[in-house]
Amino acid sequence: MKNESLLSTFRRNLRATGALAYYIGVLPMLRIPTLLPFVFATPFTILFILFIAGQRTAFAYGLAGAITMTATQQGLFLGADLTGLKIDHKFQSMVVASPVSPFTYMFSVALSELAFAAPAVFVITAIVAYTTVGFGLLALLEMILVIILTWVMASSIGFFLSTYVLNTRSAFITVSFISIVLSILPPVFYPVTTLPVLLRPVAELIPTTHAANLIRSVMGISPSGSQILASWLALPAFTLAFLLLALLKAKWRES
Amino acid sequence: MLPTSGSVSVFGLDVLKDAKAIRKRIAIAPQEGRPLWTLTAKDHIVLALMMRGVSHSEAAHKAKRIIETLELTEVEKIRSEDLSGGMKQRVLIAMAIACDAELIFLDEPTIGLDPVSRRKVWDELIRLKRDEGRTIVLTTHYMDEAEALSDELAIIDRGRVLASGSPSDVREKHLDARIRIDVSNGFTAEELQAYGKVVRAGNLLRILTDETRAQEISKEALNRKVAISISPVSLDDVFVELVGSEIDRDLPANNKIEPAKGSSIYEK
Repeated sequence: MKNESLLSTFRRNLRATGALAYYIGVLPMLRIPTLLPFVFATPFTILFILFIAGQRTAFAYGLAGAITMTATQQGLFLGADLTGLKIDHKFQSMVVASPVSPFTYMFSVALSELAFAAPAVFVITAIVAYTTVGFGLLALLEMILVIILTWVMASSIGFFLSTYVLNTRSAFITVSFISIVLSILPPVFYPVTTLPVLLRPVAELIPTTHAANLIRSVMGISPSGSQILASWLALPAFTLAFLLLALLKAKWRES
Repeated sequence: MLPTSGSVSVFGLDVLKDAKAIRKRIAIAPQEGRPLWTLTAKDHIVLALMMRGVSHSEAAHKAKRIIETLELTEVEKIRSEDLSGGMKQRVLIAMAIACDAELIFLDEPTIGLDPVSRRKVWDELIRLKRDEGRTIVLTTHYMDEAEALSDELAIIDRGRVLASGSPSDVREKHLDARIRIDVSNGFTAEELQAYGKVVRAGNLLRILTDETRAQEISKEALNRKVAISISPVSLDDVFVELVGSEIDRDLPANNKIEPAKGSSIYEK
């Protein structure tokens, strides 16, 4: 272990990632599947309201919003779960006293969150594929990429917060608030053009605006070509910035 | 957490500069930790091992041995949410000692354990030290635990090391007395002060003294038909001496303690 080769380091990290993601996320989900509806609850409720109250276009916007919201929420929940693991279970102390790096830990627990979100994302994606004319493999790949970028961005925020928050209750309150700021207030479930002109630049500063824009473009609704290009530049940039923030500025035990 | 001053080294390595190298060689069972509620004891141990790169089959094999050693077999497949506090604590200890870490930090590991479970944990720690040559840093408020397990110990109060060394060194260095006598009734604190240093120990008055004085007070107790208990001084006494309060500071000298029910073998 003292002179570990790159291959052994990779194998060890891979095993650690798989084990953490499985035991923290997948296994609890399999043992208590009744938890899953809670992941579906908020995005599907909004979708239901849009379906009942709106027209076909509103429902399409709702689908894009629901996907963006699910990926964002599950990423942010990482913050609440990590806080619980750190404060209530003291699990992070055990991780710090092991070869698992902060990145491996963050990535593993984020993957475990994704396991919970996967069924919801799958269902919404299936509805999108069914309701979007000409939805092909390329569209699906684009959508997966946007979901991954959004999830990494939100997970980074969640991880960063979890290293500073001092108790689980504060973590849940903070995460819920950020979730509203990222998923409900900005043009995620509605087009940016419905916002007052003054507020539009503010919306552009919110990463989920761009995630929703890109999902809509895959579905063939709303954004213009220049908007799509801007969003393809903005979303990865936001993701990279938050990832760097999490990795460089998160308060880990030894830093 | 960065140091405000000083430095810490483990295995001769600096904890800040060489953190990566050190982390591979250590493990911890934190104080007041809680196992993950949906996982079983076996899941926890396998997770702790796989986090260090051990394969699933090897981890499962090792987990079986640790489960048997710490007598977790009966609850091996029960989710931790349904375990008692003591069992949960044992799961955390199992996670730490299952790894091949050369240095294990155990923070108050036997809190909440019944005396039998506590002895099981002690036995396993002694085995790890003796047979596998592992170093264990254990924090405890139980002085009997420190005495039973330590080669070296340090008494720390508010961040200051008040005493350090082997248990016998610490006892000899910080206590003049060799004998401790517990008195539950029949003497006033003022009377007892003539025999040595008097401290309060719950409902008892405790005298720290030497062999000659111990004989004197034994005779006096016999005359008064009062039960007393005589034993060698322990780390408890050192701890009280260094950290605790003295009787002459907080108990009036003429305050005669009331006999506790059933504490005397003689009836007046």
